This record gives sequence, C-alpha cells and structure tokens, in this order.
Amino acid sequence: MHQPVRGSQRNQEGRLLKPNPQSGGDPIAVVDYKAFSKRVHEAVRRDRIPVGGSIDLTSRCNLKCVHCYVRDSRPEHELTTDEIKRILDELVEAGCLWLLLTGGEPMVRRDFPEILRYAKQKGFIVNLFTNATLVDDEMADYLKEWSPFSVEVSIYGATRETYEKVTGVPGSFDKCIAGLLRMHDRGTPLRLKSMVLTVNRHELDAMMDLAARFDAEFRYDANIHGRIDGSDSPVSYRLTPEEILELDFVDRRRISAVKKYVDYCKRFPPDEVHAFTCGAGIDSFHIDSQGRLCLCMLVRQQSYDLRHGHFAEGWNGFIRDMRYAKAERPYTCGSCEIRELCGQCPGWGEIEQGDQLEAAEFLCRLAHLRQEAYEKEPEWRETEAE
Amino acid sequence: MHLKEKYEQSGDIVWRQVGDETILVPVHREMSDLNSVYTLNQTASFIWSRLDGEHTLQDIRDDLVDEFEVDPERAEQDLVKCISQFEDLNGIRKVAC
Repeated sequence: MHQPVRGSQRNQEGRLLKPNPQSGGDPIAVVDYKAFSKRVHEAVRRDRIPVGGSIDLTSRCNLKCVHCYVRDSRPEHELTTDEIKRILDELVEAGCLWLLLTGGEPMVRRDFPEILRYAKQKGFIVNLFTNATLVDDEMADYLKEWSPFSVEVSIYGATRETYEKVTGVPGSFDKCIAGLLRMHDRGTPLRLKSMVLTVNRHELDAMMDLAARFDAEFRYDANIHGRIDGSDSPVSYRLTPEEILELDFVDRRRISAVKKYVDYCKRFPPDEVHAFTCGAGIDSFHIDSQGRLCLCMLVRQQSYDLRHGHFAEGWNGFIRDMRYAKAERPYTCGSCEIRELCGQCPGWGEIEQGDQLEAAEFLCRLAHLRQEAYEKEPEWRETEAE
Repeated sequence: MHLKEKYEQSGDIVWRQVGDETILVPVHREMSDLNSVYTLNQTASFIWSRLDGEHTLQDIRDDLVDEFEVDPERAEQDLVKCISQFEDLNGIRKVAC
C-alpha cells in the first residue's frame, strides 16, 4: 500500500490536513535570544512588520538635564492610561514584540506601574529607560515582580557635583544611586549609559566603574544634538569631533562598538533616491507622549495622530509613504563612501541644519576623523574580518 | 496524565506570533538571565490555543487528528510531550473536574 503523500490527506469533511510538523522533535524549542532576535529582524524587514517600537509615556521629567533633547516647552496633553492601553493592543495586533518605554521620565506618571503590567501581560519584551531617581522600595518591588527585559539607567556623572551640574536638581545623585541599589539588590537586569558632555567627560572612567559596581553593562554616546522644540542649547555641552575621537582611544572597545554600528548600517545600503534609508518605518517606529506616531525618535515634525486613527492605518499609510518618499533633490550624503560610519540621516539633518537632506556637519567631521584614525587599528580590522 | 483532564493557561506566559515565529514570552520571569526564547512549532501553537479549561486532552488529541496528518497514537504522544513542556514553564495549570 502506498504511503500518502505529505499534505495530501483529508479529514472526514474532506478538508485537506496539514502536515504534522512535530516529527519527533520538541514542540517547544529553546533558542538563543540573540540568534532569535537577528532572525526575526531579518525576516520581518521583508514584510515590513513593526516588530520594535518606542513610546514616550510622558515628556515630563523630574530632572532638568542640560543636554536633554526631549524637554519640550510647548503645552501638551499626554496620552491617558486608556489611550495607551488601546495603542498597546493595536501594536500587538500589528506584530510589535520589542517595546521601549521611555520619556521624559516614565515614572513621573502615577499610572506607570499599571502601564508596565499591561505591557507585560500583552506579551511585549519590554525595555525601560529611566533615571532611577524615583525608584523607591515599592517601585523596586514592582519592577522585580513585573520585570522588564532590561532597565537602562542614564547616569550623568560619577560624583554628586558633576551629576547635579548636568541634572540641575540638588539631591538627584543620591536618589539615583539609591534607586540603582534597590534594583540591584532585587536582581533587576540593569544597564547603565551616559551622554558624555563637556561637563562630565572627566568622569567617564569613574562612570564605567560605577556601572561595574552594579554588575551592569555600560555604554555611552557623545552625539548630542538640539532639542526637538528647536532649541540648540544642548549643543553647547557637546564635545568636538576631535575630543570624541580621543575618547575612542581611551576605551578601545569603542572602536569595535562603532564597527558594529557600521555593520548594522550596511544592511541599509546608500540610496540617492529616498530620503530615509534606515530601519525606521520598516521594522520600527516611535510614538510620542501625545500619541503621535513618528518614523523615529528624531523625526517628529511629520506624524500620524493615533488619537484619531488606528496604528495599522498610520503604519500602512502615512509612515509607509513617508519612509519611501523620494528625496526632492539629491541627498547630500547619498553617494558618500563612508556614510555608514557617521549615522547621518534626515533626522539629524533636520535638527542640525534645518533641512532633512543636508549633512549634519558635526557627524560628517567625526566620521572622516574616525575613518582616518581607525584604519590602522587592530580592533577595526579584526571586527571587519569576522 | 489522563485524557479526561483539562488544562488552562496560567497567564504567566503569553503566546505571541511575529512574522513566521511563534514564541512564548514569560510575564514575570526575566528573559535576560535566560538568554533564550521559547519558540513553538505549529502543533504546539495549535495545542496552546485549546488549553482553555474547556477542552479535555482527548478533545485536543481528536482535534489534532482532524487538523494534521497524524494518527491518534502519535497525536497523543505529541500532546503529552507538549503538556509536559508547558507545565515545566509554568504556562498551564490543571483544572479541577
């Protein structure tokens, strides 16, 4: 008797049966997280699924950091709890898995615990950005119970004096350290990060040591840009490209980190036709505190109002059209050979130059300096060979 | 394990479909210290969707036979294995009959 061809059998009603995929293997497979993440991101890009996104729960903050780009002097009507829950429901439907809760400081919202719990119960892999200053015992217990995948804490210095020179709030350093201790004691997965500025660069090593005290990875960024409300006051705290390059050679892991970023950018080849060529609007998005769906955190001038429309409509209409919009004129950086090294994008062009298609001079200068300096470095060549 | 038994989802893990991948996301446990993700095949997803406290294991086995190219004996083996793994993850609990 012939074995039936796989996929050719029918049930009693004549419906075609599905091949049994079990084949003796485990129905539930345990796969490496990083490999899974890479596989999903590559696969969803094909079908343009918004697998990762961020949401500003508020633009309010209890600190007044000199370099903050979100601080917005314009009046706002932030999303209500119910509006946020409705948006999260729509994100699940659309296939979003990785969700970053950010702000402002998310914990200034009284309903933050409720929002975190809701996001976890919906099955998001939640990352949280916070300054940790509002993490009291009750909040730390809550974060343990409804643990995000990671909690990334911004630190602004390793001493009270420097930290508070940046935050402008007396007592904030001690509160941050206390919040970090509470989370660390409860085993919350911590990462620390800093924006390196003219006023805290001398404490970069000490900040790395501080992160080690909390068994946390540490990363930093020195690419300060103006505020989204048009103010360029943060830029006065920015290091020069030459100073940033100098830092790369103090902590040489930085060179490998930049190389990884370049490799990431290479997934989106230079393009002289479209203004945007990154993953924004392909597999990621940003939602601001007033429910405006944007291409990314930087590009906020054009947006789709989620208060009056469904996420899927915004993603499949407005955001798609914006992402694939053709540049009105040749993009300055479209044919640049080291474009991936600088992170140049229309968001930076808009904030720095007031024109999405213009190169941000700061990034351009830094990229050329790095190109020249890195060529001979083993970290650069080794990672290139991987 | 008896085929008259019923199970329901515990609420401690959430089933998510993203593109071609189906995964279970723990609600309370930290995924970061596991460095791993639970992915489900089609059979496991099918079984998961029926763990509602209403269907008996026998119902689910019969549904498997009705949906996939599999004989009852094999479907039962797959089901038992699946239930055992869901239990290990604290993803389901037995419902009192």
